[in-house]
Parts: sequence; C-alpha cells; structure tokens
Amino acid sequence: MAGYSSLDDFISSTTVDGKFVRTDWNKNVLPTTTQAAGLWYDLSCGAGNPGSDAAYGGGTNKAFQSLDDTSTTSPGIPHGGDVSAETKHIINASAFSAAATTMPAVFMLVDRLGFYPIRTVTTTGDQALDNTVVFPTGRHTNGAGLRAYVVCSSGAATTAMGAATPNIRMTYTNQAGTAGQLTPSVLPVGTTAAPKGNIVYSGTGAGKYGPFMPLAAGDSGIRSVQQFNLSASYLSGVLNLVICRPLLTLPMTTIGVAAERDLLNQVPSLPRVFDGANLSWLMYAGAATPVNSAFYGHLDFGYS
Amino acid sequence: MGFATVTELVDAEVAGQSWYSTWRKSPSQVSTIGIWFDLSMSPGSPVPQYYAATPLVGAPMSYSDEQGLYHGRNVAPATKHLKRLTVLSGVATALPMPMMLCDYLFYYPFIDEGSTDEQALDNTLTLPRYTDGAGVQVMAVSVAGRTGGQTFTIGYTNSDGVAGRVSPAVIQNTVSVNGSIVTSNRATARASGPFIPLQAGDTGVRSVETVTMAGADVGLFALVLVKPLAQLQLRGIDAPVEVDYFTDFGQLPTIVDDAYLNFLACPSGSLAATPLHGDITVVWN
Repeated sequence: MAGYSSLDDFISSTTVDGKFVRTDWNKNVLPTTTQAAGLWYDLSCGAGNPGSDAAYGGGTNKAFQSLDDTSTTSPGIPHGGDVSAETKHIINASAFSAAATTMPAVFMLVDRLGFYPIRTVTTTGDQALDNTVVFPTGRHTNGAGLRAYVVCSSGAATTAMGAATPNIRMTYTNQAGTAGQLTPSVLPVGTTAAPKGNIVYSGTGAGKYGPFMPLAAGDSGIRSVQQFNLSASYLSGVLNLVICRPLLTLPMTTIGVAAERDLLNQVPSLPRVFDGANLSWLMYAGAATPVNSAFYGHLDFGYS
Repeated sequence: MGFATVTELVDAEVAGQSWYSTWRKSPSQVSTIGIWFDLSMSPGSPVPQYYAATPLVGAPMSYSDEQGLYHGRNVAPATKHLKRLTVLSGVATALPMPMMLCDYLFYYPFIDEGSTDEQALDNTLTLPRYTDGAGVQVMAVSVAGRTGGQTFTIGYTNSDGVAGRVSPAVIQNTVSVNGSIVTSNRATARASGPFIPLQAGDTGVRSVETVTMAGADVGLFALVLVKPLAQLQLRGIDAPVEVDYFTDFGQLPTIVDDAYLNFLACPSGSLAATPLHGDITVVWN
C-alpha cells in the first residue's frame, strides 16, 4: 500500500529505507517593481533557484501549455523525481528572509499544472481558449481542487500591463464535468499597470481577491477553461491564466526568523506531491517589498 | 451535510471542497485602548461599509450586498465551515489584541442620541440568517461622536419569540471615533463588552423594536445584530496567530451561505496605521 500506514512506517521509511529528499530553494521577489502591500505575486517570475520563468506568455496564444518538474523554461522546485507506485508527501517546509521591509508576508506553495498565455489583452469579450493540450493527467482527478490565477508576464516590449482596470472572467468546466461555469460577480478587477509577476486582480477594494479566481457556487475544482473575458482593453502587456493546486501556506512576520511548518505534527496533512509536480511559490506581500529581495527556505519530502 | 468523521473532513479537503482567501484591513481610525472596534468600517479588503441606510429602518446584510471577507460562493445543500484563520501584523501599537469573527446579519442605522423619546425601529425586513435569533447578539457601533456618559436601553424580541424584553441600561463611553463600540469600556462601571447585555435568561435576539436614551447626547450609533463565530488573539508582531478550529478547538463553526463576515477587535492602542493581514480557510461537505 502506498503512503504511510503508521508513524512506525513513516519513521522506518524515512530513516531505514532512506525515502527522504531535502531541497533548499532561494527565490527573489520581482526584479522590476517594488511589490505593493496587500497584493499577491507569482515568484516563479523572480530570479533565484529555481530560475526565473521564461515560459509565461510564450507558445500559441490562448493554448494551454503544461508544466512539470522537467520544465526548463519555467522550472519548479526539485522534489526528487517520480516515485510511482509509491506516493510522495511534504513533511516540513520553511521560509525566511533577511532583507529589509520584506515582512510580514505569506507564502503559498502550489503545483502549477500549466497556463494559458493570453497576448490578446486588447480584445474584449469572450476569447476561446485552446485545450488541445489537456491538464496533466495523474496530478488531479477530474480537476478536483484545482484553482486558477491570472498573472502578468509583461512581454519583451513592456514591463507591465497597460493603464486599465478591466473586469476579468473565465468560463470553465467544473470538477463535476459541468460546462459553462462562470466566474461569479463581483468580477475580479485588474490592477492598472500591474507589473510582471503580479496576480492582477489581487489587492484592496471591490473586485479584489487573493490569490485565486472565484469559482461558481458549489464548485471545488476546474477540469478545463473554455473562455477568457476582459470587459475592456488592458491596452498592453501579456496575461497568463495559470492552473494550479495549492499545497500549503507559510505566514511570516519577522525578518531573520524562519517560518517553519511541520506537516506531520503541527498541521497533520502531509500534502501529496504528485509525480511531475511543478512546485512554485506565490507570495502575499504585507509590506512594500523592494525589488530582488531574497527569500530562502527548504522543503522535506518523504515517500512510501 | 457536514462532517461525520475526520475522514470525511480530510476527503473533502482532498477533493478541493475548501477555499482560501486573504484579507487586509488597514484602519485609519485612531482607536482607543480597551474599546472594542468594528473593523468592517475600516479601509482595506474587504471594502468598508458604513451602516448607511434609512434611519431606524432595519436593513439585512449579506456577502452579495456588502461583501465582507470572501469565503467562496454558496454551497447548499452542503454546509460550509470555518477551518482556519490567520492574522499577522508588523505594527505593535495595537497589540496584543483579541479579535472576534462575526456574521453581520442586520442593522438599524442612525439612532439619534439627542432624543430621550422611545425611538421605534422598523422591522419590515427580518434577519436573513439565524432567523430565530439563536445566539444573535446586539452591538452599538458609533457613526457620529458623542460627549459620552449617558445610558440607554433596547427593547427587543428574544430568540424564543418573546417580545417586550428590555436590556439593562448600558452606559456610553466618551470615544468619538466612528467604528467604536459605544457601550464598550474596560474602566467604567455598567459598561459592557462588545455586546449589549440581554434581559436575564435570554441567549439571543430576533429583532429590536425600541431604543431609549436616558439622557440626551449629540452622537449617532447603529445597532448591529451579529452572530459571533470564532475568536482569536493576536499577541505580537513576532509571530502570526494561526488557529485551526478543528485541531485546536475541536469545532468547525458553520458559515451560512452568503454570510457577511468581518472582525471585531479590542486593541491595546490606536489601530491607525496598523495594517492587519490574514487569511480565512473554509471547508464544506
């Protein structure tokens, strides 16, 4: 039987059998613009280890592109490769920063399944998305638990989205296979001149959410997304509708003090990391965070 | 509906039947130590509301009308429950600070403290949730400052449907800041906590019919009916407070569909320029 059947089994597996992986990571916050307090950011767009994303915005416009742990243009945090038919779980996590004015902050670890690049940001109304490539199999069951967020990747000629505040809506198929599900009102509102890496509807005010796009009543997941809709032109820039599975959160308040999460004893959950998972951090900035501020941490994985 | 076993709770979370959302309140009000404060009137996300409606006419509150903390959409026939709250701050002035998450149900706006007549409240509309009033409490929120020191009573119908119930006389504090709970004062005899005391034996309020000031003052307040859901204590700036209501307290408070959620707080100093950050996680089944 995959997974841990008891605490004895866990200890034996991680010690006697050595089925344990530790990975240290280092991510800088965004390189171009100070992160504003109260907004969410996708740290895959920052420098560090793993390296900065170079996939967002690329490929066929509006066509889903999958991400996994072998992606070189948008790498995730290494977690030791496939372990099937066993299952892999996160045991511990930590994050800290010694950089000034980086606190408070909340980090969220997600498995990014992929993204729809949307370069047609001046187009209003429904834009059909291409689902020729499907969400990676084996990392979800019918989309249960999957979430979506919209992040700016700017593009070669721009450093931010245009000076506009369009409403954002998606039409999707939910975890039960029901098509035509809509983002409910109050619709998310894009931030004017949202910088690269910013989750564009996060923040303060009406129509601001963090970090995920709201789902319709009763929905708990996303199988696929059929339409992306801007109520008005975003004038310039590039958006990406990212599909992910949230795994854990790490709130931190103090510079130089590590936030540590024990997912066996403190928050008994042992989040599962599926084969191929592309692990990346989202960050809620609690203060104006200077460009390239460095965060460090580690993840412990076990499998059985 | 709900969770019969721990396995059902785990299975629901694995199936994605949960929602995580962040919030941020950044009060501008210079609040007072030991005086409970209504964070729904502070700037931030969710957007503030100001109890602005026709004077003395009861008005229901809901997520779909006033927003409040985002807790995902309606889940009926499933039931939604509070799983976890996190709060953190980088400014120490107001800490330590107890906080209380409430479902804001109904309010009677602009009660005039300048009149010592019995003021009749309009109950054409009724409670949108917790309709029998079980566990529903009443708080008096300042919307225009006063000199303070006067007392008042409310006449209400309790959660058993008995009309004509009368609260003990409660004394008003001298705090003029909008959003302050006017009956809250740690240093004054006959002052209450965040809620107006009820007549002996009563545990909830279905509606409020009258308000009577014993002496005139210059302020205005709103009477707000809330259902307290959960409490926590933000102790300092050196660590977030994280409460998992299942593992820490063995309970999963119910969040009714379309609930308007927000916080009361009792600061140890001014809340002005004290950003409060946090998240809420709900789970349903």
